Amino acid sequence: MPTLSDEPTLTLLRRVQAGDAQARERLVARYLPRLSRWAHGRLPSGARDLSDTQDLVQVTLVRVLSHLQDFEHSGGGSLLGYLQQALLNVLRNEIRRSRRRGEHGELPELAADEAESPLAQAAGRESLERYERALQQLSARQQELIVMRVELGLDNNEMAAELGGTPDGVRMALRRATAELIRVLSDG
Amino acid sequence: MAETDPDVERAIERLLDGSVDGAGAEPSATLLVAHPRELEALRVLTDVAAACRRVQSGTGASPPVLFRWGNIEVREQAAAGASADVYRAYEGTLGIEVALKLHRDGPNSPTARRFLAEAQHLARVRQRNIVGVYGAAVHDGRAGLWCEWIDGRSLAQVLNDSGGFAPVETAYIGIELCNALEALHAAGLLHGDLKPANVLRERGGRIVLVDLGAGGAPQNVNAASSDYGTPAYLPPEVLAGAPRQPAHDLYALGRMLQTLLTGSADAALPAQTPPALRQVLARATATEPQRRYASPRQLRDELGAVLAGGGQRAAPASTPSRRRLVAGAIAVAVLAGFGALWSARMAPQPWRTDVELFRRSGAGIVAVNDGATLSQGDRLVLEIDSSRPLYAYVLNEDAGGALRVLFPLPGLALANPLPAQRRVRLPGSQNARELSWEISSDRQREEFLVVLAAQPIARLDRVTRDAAVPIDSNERGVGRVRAEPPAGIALRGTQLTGILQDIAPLLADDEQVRVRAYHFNDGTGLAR
Repeated sequence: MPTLSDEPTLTLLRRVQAGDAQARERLVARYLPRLSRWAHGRLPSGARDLSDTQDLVQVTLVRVLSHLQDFEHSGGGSLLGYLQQALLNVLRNEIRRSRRRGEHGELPELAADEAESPLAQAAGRESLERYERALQQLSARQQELIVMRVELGLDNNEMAAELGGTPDGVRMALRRATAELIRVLSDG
Repeated sequence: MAETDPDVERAIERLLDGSVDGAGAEPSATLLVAHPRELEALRVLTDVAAACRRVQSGTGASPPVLFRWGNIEVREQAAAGASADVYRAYEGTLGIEVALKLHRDGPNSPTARRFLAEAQHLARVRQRNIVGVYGAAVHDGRAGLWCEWIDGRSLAQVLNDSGGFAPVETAYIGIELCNALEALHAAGLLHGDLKPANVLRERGGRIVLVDLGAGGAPQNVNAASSDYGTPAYLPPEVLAGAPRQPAHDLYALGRMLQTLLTGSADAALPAQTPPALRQVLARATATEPQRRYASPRQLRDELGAVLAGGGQRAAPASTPSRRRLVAGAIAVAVLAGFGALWSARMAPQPWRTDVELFRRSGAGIVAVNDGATLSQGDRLVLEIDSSRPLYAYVLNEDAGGALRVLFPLPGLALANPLPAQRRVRLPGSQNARELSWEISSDRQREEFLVVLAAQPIARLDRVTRDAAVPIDSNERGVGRVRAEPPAGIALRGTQLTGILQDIAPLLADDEQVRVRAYHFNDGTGLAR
């Protein structure tokens, strides 16, 4: 897995904000594979294939990174979390559009439900919906922690690099966030 | 923030690490009793995390593509069975890693068609303790199905690496598998090959029933039953040839849980096994079918009572060091079980059979009643009328101990299974000539055993393979004929007696197997 921490994100970010196109490309390349798969998992199966999804994500990342003047890498909120949130909004539009287009052909004969995203198929739609509802009730910071670990698959070191702080600090914060999520889930 | 129970904390830790075992299933077992809602919440999160891992799994460097099958990129072979290969693969439409099982025979072969049909059944079963099937199709002349790729280890691997499980873990795994069986049985399916190798523990602790069983789908349920399954986990009546039923999965589960406790299928339970768990396992694996649990729910409830009733106090789990997960978790290919999942016959109509023995003479045929005396030169036929297709076996043994098969025989026009709703006369015909069993009395005693079965009986299939003799060479002795009530069958011939003893467990179910015995002698008073 390509590491996210070989060059500090913050350094690249400052260069991007100063108008360095090369730094922007490097940031896009850094996040593209992970975010493409993440996005692909959330689009209805028939909507876009992976390379198609990758195009969508790339365009989104370039666009967001080109307007980063208002992003401050401090007070919580990592760049990755910011990009993921921006992408989530793009995906929501995409899902609405794909629903309007209707069913997509050429699906496998027995696919459980063509309209479902790969993630919903893999996790079970009910579980995924419960998870997302519960996640919404957490603070933005805790949501970000959980999305990074659970959805994007970053380990403690990678998260520490993205969020600033130490791996051990990440581990503690993540435990608290997860405990809170479990509490919300078991109440709901 | 509310305080979190230490057990929940441990489970969270395990979930976040994505470890296969960590502290094993033990926290889950404790949670099941003390914090069922939290356990349910943990399951939701575990499932979402595992699904995200599957979606993200292609992010890093992946092995080169071996070949493509439809929309699936096949990356590495994970297992090879008798009639199918299993691959780790990437499914482009879903964009996730999958296990792909490709059948070896052509797509129009009966086994391939059955394979696909079973995939359709399985795809309808959605339960978290059963491996999820995504689809099945034919591409490039090969039938295949794809399902979840599960990152984890089989319980057989865990046993092999680390020895037996603690009672509390064992009970927990049993409960999870009861849930799986309940869903399977409700869908009219049975697993048929439950054993530690077919149960996986996914990273995060989810227990998943799969089948890595050898071979493709059997041509049909009946043909499969004689040679599928693992003897150590089959109930005695199945070993004797009884048709497979969903309830047999519960027996297998009981045997499997014993294996988890002891490390081997036959060893005695460890001394620290709680008495309540001993009782549950003894009942699940009772020799007499009617003593066993009737449903997965029943077994699950009793295992739950074991957990609630202090199973936790039993032996400590094995040492933590045994559970270290090797870096780069071993990925286990998961196969949805096509070979082993059979449509079960649930709630059948009562079986109606009518069996009659006739003597054929120049004047026609006359029923041979109980107590009738037969003479040399008489020719016998057996007529069967059944409401269901059936497997008939007619065997004979003379006073000299020679065993002969009268039906089925190679070369006869009639063969098993015999058709339903039609009067069939055995032995039938060969090359358009009508046959009968001719009595040529050269022995003082002859006994006939007629077995009618809803499904083939392996023991008798073996006999008919080994003991079949050419048509026209049969010689029979004769005296009186008398019908024995099935409950009190008594035979003097040692071979027939042995066979009857072997299949005795089957006779308990009158809906599956019916037996008639006929004793003949040559009129010198030696019958019985």
